[in-house]
Amino acid sequence: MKFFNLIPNQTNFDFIGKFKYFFLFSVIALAAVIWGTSTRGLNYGVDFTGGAVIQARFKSAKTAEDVRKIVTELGEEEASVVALGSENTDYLITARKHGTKEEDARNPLNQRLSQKMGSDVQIMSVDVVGPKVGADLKKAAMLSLLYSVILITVYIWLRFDFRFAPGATIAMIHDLVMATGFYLLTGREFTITAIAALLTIAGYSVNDTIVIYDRVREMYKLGGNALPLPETINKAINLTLSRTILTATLTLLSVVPIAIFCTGEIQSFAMAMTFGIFVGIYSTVYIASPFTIYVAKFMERKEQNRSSSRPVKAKA
Amino acid sequence: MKGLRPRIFTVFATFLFSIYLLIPSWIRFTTGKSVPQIVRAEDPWYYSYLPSETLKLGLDLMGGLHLVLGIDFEEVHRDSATKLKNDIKNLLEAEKIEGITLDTSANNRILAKFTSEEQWKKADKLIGERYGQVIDYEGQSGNEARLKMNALYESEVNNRAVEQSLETLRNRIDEFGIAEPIITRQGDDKIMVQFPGIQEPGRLKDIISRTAKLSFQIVRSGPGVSDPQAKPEQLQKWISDFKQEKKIVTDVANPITKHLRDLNQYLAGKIPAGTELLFHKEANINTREIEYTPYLLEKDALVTGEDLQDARYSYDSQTNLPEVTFQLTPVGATKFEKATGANVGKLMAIVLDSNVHSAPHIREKIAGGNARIEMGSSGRSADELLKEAKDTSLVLRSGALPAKLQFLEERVVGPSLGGDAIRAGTISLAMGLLFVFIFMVIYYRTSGLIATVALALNGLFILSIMAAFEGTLTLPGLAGITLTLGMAVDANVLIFEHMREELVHGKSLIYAISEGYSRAFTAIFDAHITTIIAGIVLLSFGYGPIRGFAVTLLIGLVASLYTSVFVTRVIYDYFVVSKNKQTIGI
Repeated sequence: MKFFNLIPNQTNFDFIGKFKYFFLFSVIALAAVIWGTSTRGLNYGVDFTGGAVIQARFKSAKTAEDVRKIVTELGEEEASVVALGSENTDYLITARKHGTKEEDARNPLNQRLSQKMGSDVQIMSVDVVGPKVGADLKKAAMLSLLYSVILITVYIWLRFDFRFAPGATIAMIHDLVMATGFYLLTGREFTITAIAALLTIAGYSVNDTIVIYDRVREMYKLGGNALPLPETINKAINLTLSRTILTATLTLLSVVPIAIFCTGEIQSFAMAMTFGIFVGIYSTVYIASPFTIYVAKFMERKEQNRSSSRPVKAKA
Repeated sequence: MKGLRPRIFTVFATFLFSIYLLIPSWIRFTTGKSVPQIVRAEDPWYYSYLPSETLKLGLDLMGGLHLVLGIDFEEVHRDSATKLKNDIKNLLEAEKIEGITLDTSANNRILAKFTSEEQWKKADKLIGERYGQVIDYEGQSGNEARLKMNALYESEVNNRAVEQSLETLRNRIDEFGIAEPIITRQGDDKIMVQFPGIQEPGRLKDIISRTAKLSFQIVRSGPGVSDPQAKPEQLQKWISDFKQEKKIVTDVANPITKHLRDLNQYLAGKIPAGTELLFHKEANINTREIEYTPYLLEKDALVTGEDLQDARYSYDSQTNLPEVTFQLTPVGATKFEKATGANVGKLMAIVLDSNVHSAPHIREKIAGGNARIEMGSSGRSADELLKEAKDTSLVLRSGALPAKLQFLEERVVGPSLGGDAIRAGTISLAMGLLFVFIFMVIYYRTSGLIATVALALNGLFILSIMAAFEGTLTLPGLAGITLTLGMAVDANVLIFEHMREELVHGKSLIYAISEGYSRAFTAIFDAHITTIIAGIVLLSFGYGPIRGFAVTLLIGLVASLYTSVFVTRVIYDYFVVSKNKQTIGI
């Protein structure tokens, strides 16, 4: 029987051997992202910072500078003003503060704008998030990431082997940080939807890891301990390689149109996903699997030490 | 393969049932009509055989107003402290314990001043017996004891405030006549409201934010009455002292009524105990400027809005100006009659949301429980007055909110924006699916087609389950569907790759199918469970858009386990066992 194949059946790449270089690369990349996030900071959306995002249509054409002046007069000095379309009438105004005067907090920017401009401005869409809501959301989002990672780790530990859990967890955290790096690097707004993207990327990454682990588990069941663990894992990666690439291709096929044709948050989501799919494959093959081998070797050595030290003790 | 027939039956039954669940949604999106819960005579006959639940489109897809409201719990606590204080006062009166005066402090403590220690001991014991569950004894200084509401009671009060706000909002929005609003609790202390299709939030927000607290209070000092401790001139002087001390400049945008709470705190100790200062707002006939007249009122109301039965707007028979008339409940009417009888000759202020609307003389006791609020002229047009009378009667009728609501979050999505988003979303989703279908069929041939059928079924199941539970489909929700479809395809890829492996080793088709499924299943199962874990976490922590994503993700994953494993297997078994095919494209 002949199959339509993109990937040859009997590949035998050495994925594990070059672990050190990839590990070093990842550590540097992760450090860069963490450093960047703490110094430059993410471009948090109003979901998290609180503030107002307004899409306004002015009756007469205005330059961005005009609009910024109007908004500044309303007490929002650091608002960003972006023109939408080529007519110079539609603008996207993002204000992170809640005005300068005390009563501004109760009177969001869109109302102040309408009060000032009257019928000269038409508010097309508004997003106003109070500062407390923003802080609450940030906390909830962070917690949901944390709990997901913990629960998935526990699950892998229960379903597979104690030795397998750390590798999967490291890969998951690796992907979460890298995907955050995507938002850091592109400067795209980090919103609630970004959290959904991070979690999905982590989910896919775990999915990939599980497929390989599942192969390892199967090989052990079938052939006993014919091969040492590093070789077994390497073989499992090679055996599942076609599936890994196929699934990635299929997911890309469904995500890339969204990245191209949609706008706003959904587009960011799809772009982050596209990035995350590559990172996910990379981390599964080059991070999770080698790391698992190291953990296994480390435990073996410990085991040997214990069993070899015991007789000595007994003699003494 | 045993049990093929029941399995084929199951697949067809679930397929038909999900189509059935989607019929009402189909009717709604094509004709705009919805299947009612109780079928009317004029409806088509088959309506009585259909469910009424339909799929809903989120605001991001159809446009509308989204609000998250917070409650001013400070005000709620103040009110419940006052209420407790009054209850205790009534209790002490009933038990004939005298010489104790009760008041509430700024931090919501109940203060009990007593003249004899012995009387207080008696009172304390009684309060402990009756209110021990809700009140803690905080301390005593000299002949004044401090009581406070305990934490458990406070959280109970908070909970009740949220529930009451929800109830009141539902009534108001119902009366306002908005189709299909979504009004739900968000977290412990917030309320989420969504109005599909609403673009002009102004008046609606106004109606939502009005507390509609009505009370009748005796005037101690103001135009026409004077209290020796606080003459009207003295009130004016205190107010200007307050403004000077706090450096407040009042103007049209910043009237004195914005500082009511601070002002009353400043006045505590100056004005007689158990009174509060409120204002009457009226436009000066000559200058057209709005003037605020201070009124010193007794805090304890004769009757409140809780005793209200109905409120309507009408026109004053003499001036022909709009006004609101209302009717008290029988209990309220009796209370009102007694209280007015005891206060003949005094002024009674009609207070709505801390605003003295009018303060008529009580000439005799008022029976029957009818009363009215004039809208005042304030230099406004008859149209504006009528609108106010309408809105006021609406909010009075639908009940008071326990406290003022704060707008924490406000999102308006334009319909054009929604339209563009929906188009871009649908097109890209369809394109993605099409690419996946084409790829699968080219790569796996007949098997790819089987997987494609399973995928289509998966999408159908997700939508029908959402429809059955009246789920809301949002843009993040669509993203969630895309991702589950990805997972579902992956499951089939896993199975197919295992099958190919077996076939390469020269195994028979039947054996390859059976091995392919059983070997792939563990990985598929574990991958689904881990993603389900992430979905559940998202669902329990996330708000709004995140929840939409999590809901479709979870439904989709469960459906994916069914379609990509169970359904595809049934199709294979049908061809291989029943049709006795020896080869199948893979």
